[in-house]
This record gives sequence, structure tokens and C-alpha cells, in this order.
Amino acid sequence: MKKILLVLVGLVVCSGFAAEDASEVTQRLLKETMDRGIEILKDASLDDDHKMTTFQGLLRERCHTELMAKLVLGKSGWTSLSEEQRPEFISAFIQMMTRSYYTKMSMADLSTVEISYAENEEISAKKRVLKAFIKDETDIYHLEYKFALIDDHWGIYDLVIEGISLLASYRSEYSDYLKQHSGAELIELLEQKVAEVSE
Amino acid sequence: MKFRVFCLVSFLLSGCAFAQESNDFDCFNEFEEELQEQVDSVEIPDPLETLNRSIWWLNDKLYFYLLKPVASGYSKVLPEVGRESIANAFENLQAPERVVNNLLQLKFSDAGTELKRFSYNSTIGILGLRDPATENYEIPTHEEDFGQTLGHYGVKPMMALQLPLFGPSNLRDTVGMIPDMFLNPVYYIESLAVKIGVKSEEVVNGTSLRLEVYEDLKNEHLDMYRFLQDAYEQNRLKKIKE
Repeated sequence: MKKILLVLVGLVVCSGFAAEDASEVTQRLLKETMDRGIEILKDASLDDDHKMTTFQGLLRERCHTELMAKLVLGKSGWTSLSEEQRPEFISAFIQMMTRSYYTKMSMADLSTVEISYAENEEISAKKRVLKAFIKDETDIYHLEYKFALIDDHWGIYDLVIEGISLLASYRSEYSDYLKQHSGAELIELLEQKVAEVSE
Repeated sequence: MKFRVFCLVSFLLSGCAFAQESNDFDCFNEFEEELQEQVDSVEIPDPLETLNRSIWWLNDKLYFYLLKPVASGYSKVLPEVGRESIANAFENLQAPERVVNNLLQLKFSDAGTELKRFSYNSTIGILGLRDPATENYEIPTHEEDFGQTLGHYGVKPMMALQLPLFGPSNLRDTVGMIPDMFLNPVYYIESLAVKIGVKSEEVVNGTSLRLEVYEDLKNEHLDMYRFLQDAYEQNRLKKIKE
């Protein structure tokens, strides 16, 4: 009986430590990602193309990109794609999303930007939301970074800016599009958009 | 005995395999449900979609062929610091709207903060051209309008609307614009020409501070009308909940 009690106490204590760790890990990951992102954007030794590919690499490393791509299509949209189309969609979507985030960040006046981190809320054992404020000379923006624990790795799967969720916005748009078009057409259009922006 | 152990191990392994598969599936489901709830919470009827899309098309053309060229030229004439001061002054003029709507929602402390901001910015801030309330005293603003007040008391957006020149909205917020109009000092300018001039200055100045944002969004979205309407509803829901 004593042994069982000890094991139970041990489990409770360990789960307490695990929760604390998750909070610290996600906080650290976000801070590192933001600092590294700003460092890349400010790096005068890199040309624009190099900056963007480095920035995109950072986002790929810190975000659950595959989960994001699946979620923007939803279960029905995702299952409507063939096995061959799925990686094509992931690649096109991630390329466009990371490029878009890079463009937005590069538009900001980084010399005046201040980032402060607020709450770190546990939604479930596998989900956390970190709130942050980005302040420039004139405005304060409220951001929420949603983190997921997948395969023992915490990563960002959604970003909410002033209440506008990146995934929810794409999701509405793509599900509307897929009502009248095929998955192949969606992938083609996305690839076309990426190519247009790259020019 | 060996057979029993073999059966037990096989059962456990098959259980693990199932759990692994089920875990991946559940993981996807958990996020899927959360996102679907979020999407559903801001989805509103759009019975006038054809008309709304036509108005969006008109707004889009007005932006590219009129507003953007004018705002680009304007930004070359007036430096950013000047344009930001003008934007501050227009924001300061909306203080009565914020105070009244905070009071209507019984947010007395926020209404008081808005009054404090207005008094600081109108005096030390030289008629609102500067924003010492934020810069020096770190007093945050509490944006509220009549659409938010209606939302606060449970009025639903009802239906999507796209307004000429103003962009995405809904029936609740469009109705809410009427009382807000009476709370803006610009409404009391007698000369119509001056009033139009002041409003145009506000729009051109605001656009000059956000050049390329619209183009950037348009480049990444497949259906800009749908995106704007959806983003508008998400943002409004957040403001109402605050």
C-alpha cells in the first residue's frame, strides 16, 4: 500500500514538474524564435532572398507545419486530396504562409518594436497559449501563439493577431474554394500565388 | 505458459499500435474541433453576397486607382511623423464615442481612463497631435463603439455587409455607426465641403500609414472578399469579448 502511495505521490509531483517545464519550454521557444527572427531581418550581411530563406527555415523548425496544413483544409478537405497531392499541398501552403509572415515582419520598423510576453496558459496537456504584445511607435498589437505538443516536441500551430486566427482565416477561405473546385486546382492556385509573389 | 506470454505480448503490442494510431487521430481531431468551433463562431449569413461582392470589387478598384495613388503622393509630401500626428488628432476626436460606449457598457473605470487620455492628449499633447497618454503615462486606450455596445448586450451581427468606402461590416455594426456619428465632433461642422474634406483627409492619411498592407494580403489570399469579411468578424468578436 505504501509503495502504491509513494508511486502516486511521485506521479503527482512529476506531473507538476512536467507542467512547469512545458510553460518554461514554450516561453523559451517563443522568445528564441522572435529574437532569432528579428536578428535575421536586421542582418545586413544577408541579401533579401537569403534573409527570407533563413527566416522560412526558422519558422519550419519552430512550427508544426504539417499539422497547420492539415488543419487549414479540415478533415474533409484533407481526405479529399490524394496521397500524392498531400505533400504538394503542404509544400505550397507552407511556402506561402512563411513568405507572408516574413513580408509582414519585414514591413515593421524593427528599431522601435518592443515585445513583451504576458500569460502562458495551459489549455490541455498538449496545448498552450502564450500571449504577447508587440508595441511600435503608434500601436500595441495583441498576439496569441498557440503551441502543441506533438511527438514530444512543442511547436507553434496557430497565430492569432488582434483576434484574427491565421488558421481560421485560411480555413474559411479554402473550404469555400473546395466547394466549387478540386484539390488539384487549389494546389495549382497556391503554387501560382507563390510564384507570383516570388517574382 | 509461453503461449500465454506470447498472447499477452501480442495483445499489448497490438494495443500499443492501436493506441499510437488512435493517438495521432485524436490529436488531429482535438485541433480540428477547436478550429471548427472558432470558424463557426464567426460565420454569419451573407444573403446579399452578390451585392456585397460587387461593392467589394468597387472598393478594391477605388483603392488601387484613387486612394493608393493619392495616399502615395501625400506620403511623399508629408513626413511620417506629421502623418502620425494627424492620425493621433483624429483618434483623439473619437474620445467622446469611446467614453459614451464604455459608460453604456457600464465600464466606468475604462470610461474614466478615456476621459483622462482625452484631457492629457488635448492639452499636453497639443490638441491631440501627440499621444503623451500612451507615450509618457502608459494609459491604455479602451476602444468601444456602438456596434460593440450592441454586441455586449447580446445583439448578433445578423448578416454580412460590405459598405462602399468603409469595407467589411455587418448589419449590427452598420446600425451602430449612426449614434457614433453624432458623437464625433466632425459631424457638427456646418459646411458639407469642409466636412467631406476632413473625412477625406482622415482616410488618405490613415491609408498613407498602411501602404502595401492591402496588396500584401491580396497576394496571399485566394478570395480577398471572404478573407476580409471573416477577419472583420473575428476581430469584432474579440473586441466585444474584451
